[in-house]
Amino acid sequence: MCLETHGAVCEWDGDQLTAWVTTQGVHQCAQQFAQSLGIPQSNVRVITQYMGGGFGSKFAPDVQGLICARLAKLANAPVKLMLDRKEEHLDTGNRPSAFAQIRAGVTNDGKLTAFDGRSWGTGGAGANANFPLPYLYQFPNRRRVHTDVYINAGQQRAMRAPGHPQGCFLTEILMDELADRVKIDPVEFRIKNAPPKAPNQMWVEYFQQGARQFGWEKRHPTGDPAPGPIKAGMGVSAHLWGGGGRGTQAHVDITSDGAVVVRCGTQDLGTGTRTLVTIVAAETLGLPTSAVKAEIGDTNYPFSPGSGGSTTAASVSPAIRITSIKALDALFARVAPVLGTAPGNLVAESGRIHVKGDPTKGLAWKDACKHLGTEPITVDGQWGEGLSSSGTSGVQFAEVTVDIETGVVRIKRILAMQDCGLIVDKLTAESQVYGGIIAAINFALFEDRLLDRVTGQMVNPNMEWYLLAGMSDIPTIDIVLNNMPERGVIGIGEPPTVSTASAIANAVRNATGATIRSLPLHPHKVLAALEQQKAGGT
Amino acid sequence: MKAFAYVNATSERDAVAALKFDGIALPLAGGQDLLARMKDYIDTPERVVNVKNALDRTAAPTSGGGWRIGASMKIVDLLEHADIGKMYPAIIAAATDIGTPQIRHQGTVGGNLNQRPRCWYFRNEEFVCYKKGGSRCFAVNGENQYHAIFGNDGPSHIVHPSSLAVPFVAYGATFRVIGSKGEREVAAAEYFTMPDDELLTHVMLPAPGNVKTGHYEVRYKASHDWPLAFTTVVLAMNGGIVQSGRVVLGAVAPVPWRSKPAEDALAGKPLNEATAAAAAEAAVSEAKPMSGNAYKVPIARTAVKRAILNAAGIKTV
Repeated sequence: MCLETHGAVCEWDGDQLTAWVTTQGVHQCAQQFAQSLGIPQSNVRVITQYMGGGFGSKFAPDVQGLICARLAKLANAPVKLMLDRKEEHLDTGNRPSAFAQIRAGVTNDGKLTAFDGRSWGTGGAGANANFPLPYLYQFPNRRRVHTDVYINAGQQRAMRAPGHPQGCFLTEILMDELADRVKIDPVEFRIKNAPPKAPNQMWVEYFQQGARQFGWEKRHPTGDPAPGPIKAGMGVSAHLWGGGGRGTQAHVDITSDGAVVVRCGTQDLGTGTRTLVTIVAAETLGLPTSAVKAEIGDTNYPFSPGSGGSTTAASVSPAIRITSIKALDALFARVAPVLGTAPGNLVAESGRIHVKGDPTKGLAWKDACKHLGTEPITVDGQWGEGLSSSGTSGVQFAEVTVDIETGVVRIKRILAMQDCGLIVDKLTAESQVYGGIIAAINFALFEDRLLDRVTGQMVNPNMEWYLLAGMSDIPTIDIVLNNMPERGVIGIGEPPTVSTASAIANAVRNATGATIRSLPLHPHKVLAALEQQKAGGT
Repeated sequence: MKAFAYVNATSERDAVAALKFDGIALPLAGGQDLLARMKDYIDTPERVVNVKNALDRTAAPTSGGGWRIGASMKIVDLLEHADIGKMYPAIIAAATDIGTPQIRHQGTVGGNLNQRPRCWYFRNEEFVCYKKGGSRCFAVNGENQYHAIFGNDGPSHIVHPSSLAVPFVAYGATFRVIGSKGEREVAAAEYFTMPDDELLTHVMLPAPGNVKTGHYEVRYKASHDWPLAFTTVVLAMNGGIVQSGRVVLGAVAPVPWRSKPAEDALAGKPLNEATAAAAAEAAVSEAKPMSGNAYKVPIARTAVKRAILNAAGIKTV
């Protein structure tokens, strides 16, 4: 759920529309304004300087954006139209549901043999509720039938890592149940059945390294033998994601006062894209980040795709790098004669341009730029091969306690092992992992869209009864980022949110010995599973 | 929100006069409930009477050795009151997790006691339920996982939302109210079923005497959430034996729910784990859950048991 609700401010100047939209795709948004309003796209400008979360639900103007534009036209004045919290819950889409019946086979020595699944999901009044199943692990024989169910209860949206948390959960809770059947430790069982190690398949290493760091050897078998109502448990789960991206264009200006402006029509979904643009340009030009101005989030800037699928970093970073190199080469060409050398002999570092190997023979950046006079450097560039790739892997561990007299689950700590190729900025990369895990804690324990069974109305379209973790519900989160510079930039927005809930669910089962094959882990489900366990069922 | 007239009352008498109005007049204190109801069109008063400045904001000792708490006292001030904390620890335990720090700094004791139900049908303008002049309770055939498990004879199946009401009833408080017919005192336990044509001005707490008190809340979220069930026990002791006690449950019934079966199970018994378990079992013996909230029965049982153990000084979890 987006903390900043969907909406826009629209203003017309004659037949020119400017729309300030909370969107994760300014160019896509402009295209759809143009199509829906029947005006040329050249008459639409969309601006998104900052936004409060999109999570796959903010690629288009939607009904509220189009109404806003039409009202602004009729009023001949700027109009602001933001959804209120209730409308946000009712109108802006959901992660599709998932339900499955699974049969699986495993040998006594712990090798998976077969997967046979039927699954259902609903995306509301439309399709696209499918999800990857089985997830990640190697089942040599597999069969799966999926059915999309159409219901009149709100539209699906491509919510953060579409399909993956669902497929991951269904597979990963199965993995723990199978591991117990053959009496093998869940980490060892996963290692036996994970795909072989590859740059985009680092699971085996993460299972081993993570287990050591997490203290997995202290994990007891299923069911905490400790006396008293509070039972502790550990769980593990793995995930994959694609990432990667292309298609971004960029522009760099260097003026005679030494100022640098980078323009790119990408947008900052909240992941730190503005920071990423600044860092890449500054490092390329040998300048501090404070000397580079990044201008993004505007369709007047060069094209960049929408921010979905964890593709933005891999799409934007190469374009900024390549365009900055072009600008620097152009600057070298202008400065080289002044320094009495060839452009190819120059380097830019620590705020200076100087001859390679001889820092004394050079100029401070500002002094070098003075030689541009009235003709600035102004270059365009675009994404190119070789600086990015796709495919990420991750493993997460969770420790929980469960109060078996109340069914209340508390999460104690999470460990995330994650790669995303070259880490451009550690701070914002880690923030994505924190954010992904916290969102997944909500998916695991709290978020539940409750529809009145008689009227179909959502009874909790608010933040009072649609529960979200508060500070006290968020555990210690440790992150191990595996920097793989040789792979180039990949993207990390979605993968960390995939496996957290499965690890938590497995930890709850490890704590209690009761099997709960459903999310969220509400006390009523935990208590019911404990009752069933007492009665001897699973 | 609909337009309304605003009256800033500065005395009890002014407040009563301003609330006597040919139309809908509602009192405003900390605003944590009323303003939200107005924004959601649950209530559309024509006149809003600010009573915050009209009512007492302080707590004072009474001649009988008890305390008198003004309805306008902020929850945070109650929490930080050293004497009340010492004499009535369950009140502090109940106040600690009310809402959020912001709500506790803005909300008042009177406001907490007089909140309207948090039921999601009541709070949704599209459901005209019994509590809003309609003819039914939508929770009966609908979504009732957070609704009542006691006192379910109807017509409404809400749970009373006040955290403070429960320890106030357990400590045997009386409430001072004023109205057009003057002032009077009513037992806290009676207050929640009275017609709401009077204004609460004070909570009168008797001297607690030789009691042990315990309080326990079961919460789904660790903060900023309504408890699933909670209990205050106040036990008059004779040596190690419970002479008599009050066991009051919250978030389980349309009113703060005093459990006679639990009180009977405690009387004359030593304060230990076996007594706590027996009283907890007795407490839920009269539970009548709805279609989707039977899980609250073991939770309520746990809250009672742990509140008693808490009073006994026995570590629970």
